[in-house]
Amino acid sequence: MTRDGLRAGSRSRRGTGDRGAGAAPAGRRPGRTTGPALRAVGLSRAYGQDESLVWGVDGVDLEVPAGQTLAVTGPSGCGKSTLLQLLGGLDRPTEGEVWLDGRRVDDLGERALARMRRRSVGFVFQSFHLMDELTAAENVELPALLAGVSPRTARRRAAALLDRVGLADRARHLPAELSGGQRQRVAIARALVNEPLVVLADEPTGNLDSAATHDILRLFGELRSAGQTLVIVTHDERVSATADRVVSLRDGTLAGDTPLPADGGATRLGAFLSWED
Amino acid sequence: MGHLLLTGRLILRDLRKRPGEAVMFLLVVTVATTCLTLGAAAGNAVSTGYAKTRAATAGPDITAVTTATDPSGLARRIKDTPGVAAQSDPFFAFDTTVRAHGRTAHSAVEGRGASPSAVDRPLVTSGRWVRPGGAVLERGFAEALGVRVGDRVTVGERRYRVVGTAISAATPVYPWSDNAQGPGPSDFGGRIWLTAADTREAAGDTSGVHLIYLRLTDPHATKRWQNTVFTPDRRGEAWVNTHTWQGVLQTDTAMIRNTRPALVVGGWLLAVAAVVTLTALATVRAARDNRRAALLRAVGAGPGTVTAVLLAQYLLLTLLATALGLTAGTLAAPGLVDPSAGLLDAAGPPDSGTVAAAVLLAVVVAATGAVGPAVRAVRTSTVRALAGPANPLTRHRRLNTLTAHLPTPLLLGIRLLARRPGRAVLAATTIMVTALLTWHAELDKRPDFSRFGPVEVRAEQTGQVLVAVTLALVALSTLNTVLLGWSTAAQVRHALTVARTLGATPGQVVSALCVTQLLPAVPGLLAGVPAGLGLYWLFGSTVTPPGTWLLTAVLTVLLAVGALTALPAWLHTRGPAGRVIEAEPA
Repeated sequence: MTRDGLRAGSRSRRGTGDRGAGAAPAGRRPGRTTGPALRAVGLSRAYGQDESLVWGVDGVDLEVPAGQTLAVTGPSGCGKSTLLQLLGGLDRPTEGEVWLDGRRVDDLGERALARMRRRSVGFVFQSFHLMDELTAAENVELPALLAGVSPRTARRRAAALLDRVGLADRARHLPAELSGGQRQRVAIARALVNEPLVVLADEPTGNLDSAATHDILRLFGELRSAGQTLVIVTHDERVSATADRVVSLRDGTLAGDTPLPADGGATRLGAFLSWED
Repeated sequence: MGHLLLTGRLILRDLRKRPGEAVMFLLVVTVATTCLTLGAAAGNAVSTGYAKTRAATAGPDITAVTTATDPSGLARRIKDTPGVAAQSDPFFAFDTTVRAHGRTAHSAVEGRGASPSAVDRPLVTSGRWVRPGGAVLERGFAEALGVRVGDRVTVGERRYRVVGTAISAATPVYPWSDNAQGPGPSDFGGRIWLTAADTREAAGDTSGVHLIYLRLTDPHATKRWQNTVFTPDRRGEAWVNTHTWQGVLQTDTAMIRNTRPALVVGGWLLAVAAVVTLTALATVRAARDNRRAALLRAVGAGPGTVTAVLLAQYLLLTLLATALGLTAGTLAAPGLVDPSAGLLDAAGPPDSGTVAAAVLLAVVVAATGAVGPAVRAVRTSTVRALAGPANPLTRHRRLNTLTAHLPTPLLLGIRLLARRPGRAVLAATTIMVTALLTWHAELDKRPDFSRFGPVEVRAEQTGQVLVAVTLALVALSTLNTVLLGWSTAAQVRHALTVARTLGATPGQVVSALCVTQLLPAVPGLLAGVPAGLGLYWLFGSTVTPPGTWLLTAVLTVLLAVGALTALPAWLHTRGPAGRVIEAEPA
């Protein structure tokens, strides 16, 4: 089915902005940190066809400046995870564009997308998705080895990151020997090993208890302080309250975009952590 | 470097975590390549073994057999003929019946001196050479009679102590080594050496022949030499027959005429069974491979890397299995091609054709079984693979309506089958391969050679090969049926548990799983039995097994399939339904 065909089966929707193939969005500036780290223009994703056509994400326009921590919230099934997958190149949009660091990425081939994911994007999943047969250190090394980093350097980076997430003594443990919180910390270390432009986290505390959530939020706080661009999908208000900005989705469309006070995220994170402590 | 390390790491961890799967892969591919290697290597091994024996025993290019009572004239004439490089003295020999350990057999008895002959110097493989009162038996003949050094054999009415065994390239291997039959050899028989005096004494009044062994200056010109030299004027009054070394080799090769195709066809049949095993294994691994592919893609691996990681293990195991199969086949070939042990050991490196055939088979098996699932895993959406089951289920609205009126086991079984048509094809193929075994019926129809003594070496060997191939096929088919039953039971465990919570009994659930295997088995049998008979007709005489035999075989196969499926199904339905529902999300 063509896009026109899809559109004929969809309900009336908002405009999707500039659709010129390959054209840079207005105001784009070259360079890694001079423009928005991540930008979505009229982003849509449809599932099914004809009568059963459903728009998981529907005409989303979004800009994430470098260094910002953005929380994406909304009820279950509103398209949060789909939006994150589209932004990270795990899924392809039905319509719209995704720009990463000033480069359009939604029309890239599989190889180029893979290169983009390994160099510019780090994923953190709710279910951790670690390789069961690899140790914590080997899981962290994985993206670095795929990126062509020498085994020695990859091992050094993994050790440093595991130390940073407080798991230096668990480096040789298999995921099955780690708690949920520890596995998520390994996943975060893995997401950071190639120093990505943006970290995309999908419900990173969804499977964790309060103590583990506490650890993960502390880690995200450190990343935020270090200027790491973060997009966190969550339905946990405690998590979203620690962001610089919160966008909410409803039925696949943007229903709200609320910047939080400067440094408020850190304050609220501190309050949350002290309350949890 | 990093990619290699990563791939190697994943392979090693997977092998360590699931050694059973690797062993199974290794086993099935090795069995198939061994069988094919044996078939392919057999022809060369005969030539090699014969050439080695010929070289070691100064084997003749031509053997002249004459009934003349005084062969000296013929020997002189031959000696003066151009093209003769060397010739032996005429040796007296006669055809008789020998007895040992209660067995009787035809044999040539040949008189020899203590000193080695210029041409045809039998190589003593145990004991010593002839001496007065001491007989030396051709090694294959001795084994067939069950005779060892120190035993006694009766030649005519006289008993001789066996002082040795030897091999020679002057005649084909036992049971074609009786060259003292006059115009023969046309019947089966062995070969015994005595001293010239003992031979004359043992022959008594029996007429015999004289054997003259010749080496030519051009060993390949035997036919031309034969035709130009043995003209009537040179033969004289006496009858002269000749045997060339090419004829001897041809007879030796003919010994494995029936065995080779059995091995080659058996190898490819085993390959089909191996493909089913590997495909079933890949199905079992599908969920794990899909997830692994998705994880790698999520952290930045490209399609090439993911495919390489998924296939590397299969590739490694395929290489290993090919090497094992080639080695085992090559080592076993000499024993196979020389069932009577009448030649020197012909073990040697396999030729390029054999290697190519084995590699082709292994690659076809591995590619058919592994590449498809790997490519599917690579092409599956990352998001879906991370979130969902390996095989998204499809809904068959009409089928659901049609089966709604069937008994519960059939209802569940047919719906499960419709959701996994590939598995039905695998099950049908397994059964078809099993049904192909009907060609094994040839064994029961082989002719009776008992009047010639213990000479059924060739028939026995073909029979043993067929039995071995059949057993391997049955074992693989059994393994496949269990594997398919087990993986189906594991995959549909949740669905069937839900059915149990809705009122289906464990018996109905087990029956439903049996239906998923038995329904494809029927077309498998319908296709496999005629195909098996076709194969049988290719290699044997056109004898059709009786209908009752076929019907019994069909029913046995169906019963076996039912039983082999019921066991894993029962194991999966043992636990309380509630625990399974809680443990496994839908």
